[in-house]
Amino acid sequence: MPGMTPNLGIRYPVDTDVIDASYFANFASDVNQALLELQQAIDEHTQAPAAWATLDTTTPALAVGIDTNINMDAEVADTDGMFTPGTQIMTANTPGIYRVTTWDWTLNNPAGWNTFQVAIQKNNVAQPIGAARKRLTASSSPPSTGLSLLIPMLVGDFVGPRLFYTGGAGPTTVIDGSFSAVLVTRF
Amino acid sequence: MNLTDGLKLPCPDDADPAAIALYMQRLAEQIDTELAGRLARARSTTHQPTAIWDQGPDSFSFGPSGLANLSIPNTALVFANYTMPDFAGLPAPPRFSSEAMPLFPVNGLYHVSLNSWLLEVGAVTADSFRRVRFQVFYLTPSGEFELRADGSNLSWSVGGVGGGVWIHNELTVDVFDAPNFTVVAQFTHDNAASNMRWERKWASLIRIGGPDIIEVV
Repeated sequence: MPGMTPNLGIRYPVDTDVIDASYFANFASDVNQALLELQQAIDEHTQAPAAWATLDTTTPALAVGIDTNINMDAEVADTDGMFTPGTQIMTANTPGIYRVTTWDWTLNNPAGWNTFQVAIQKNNVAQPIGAARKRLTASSSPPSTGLSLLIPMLVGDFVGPRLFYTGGAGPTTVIDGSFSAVLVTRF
Repeated sequence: MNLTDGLKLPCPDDADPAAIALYMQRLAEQIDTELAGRLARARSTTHQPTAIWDQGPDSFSFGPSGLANLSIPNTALVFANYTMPDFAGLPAPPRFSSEAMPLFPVNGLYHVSLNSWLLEVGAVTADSFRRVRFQVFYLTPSGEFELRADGSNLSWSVGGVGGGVWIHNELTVDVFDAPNFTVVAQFTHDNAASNMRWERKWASLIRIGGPDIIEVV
């Protein structure tokens, strides 16, 4: 009856055993399995699911007083098939806690006194989990804003940024934006 | 007996007795110890202490001369992969409240954030401010609260437009004595036209790593 190590269950012979090749095979197999588990744990950290998309080339309109989804036009990275091209959506394919960050949202010369808000929605519920609202003044400098949140996501849950603008001079355009989701804690 | 470089794994040499079973056992146990430790450390990087709270509308509202202290109960916990001792010393879900101490389960570097929706009950005073003070304090051995990190933030109402404002607070703090660290958050405003309330709070805490990752240069 072989012995076995306490943590990883590596089998080894005892004095009364007649040692043949199978003992070495079991030994090697158990060490091999332990190394694979270690590699998987390392990969879960160094290759965590992550996606990042930006608004770079298009300049979609943002109407006054309407919560608006702005489709991202460039995928920078996506290690887990999360980003849906042509949308602003990141969908979890691996469950866990994600750091969801949206930044660099920039309006093109809004006129008059107004506000500019970017919110993070989960599964399209009406009330965002969080938002960053910027107070603007009559200025030619394009304002920008963003925020970062930890959000638990199951497989199929999705997150996305949503923009809101109030001003006195009609629609403006959005000239830049970034949105990312990175798994930071596993369930 | 020979030992490998680095990990010092044992193996017999020609002069050793032919106790193969004993050598294999010792080698297996040494590999077990080395690999199990590395496996635990690798897994801990993706399972760091993390907690998220989401508290909905708070019925408490107050005027410009008052303030609201942060107090998120256990029932608002969305996720936590650790527990903290309650007042009876029993394991309980962590609370994210100014009076909750301790909040941090172990020493380390933490990222803490609070996202608040601050909503006026009635009319809005144009250009009035809303402030969330967001700080981490350390209770020193001499019994004094020492400020260790400050993520306070300020926002303004805009031209009398309703709907409230969001304030996002975040900070990173080196928690070197976990049982004696606590978070403090307070909401104040000068919206004279009506009271305000802390409509929603989305708070989170995550340990980024151990103290050994902090390097003073």
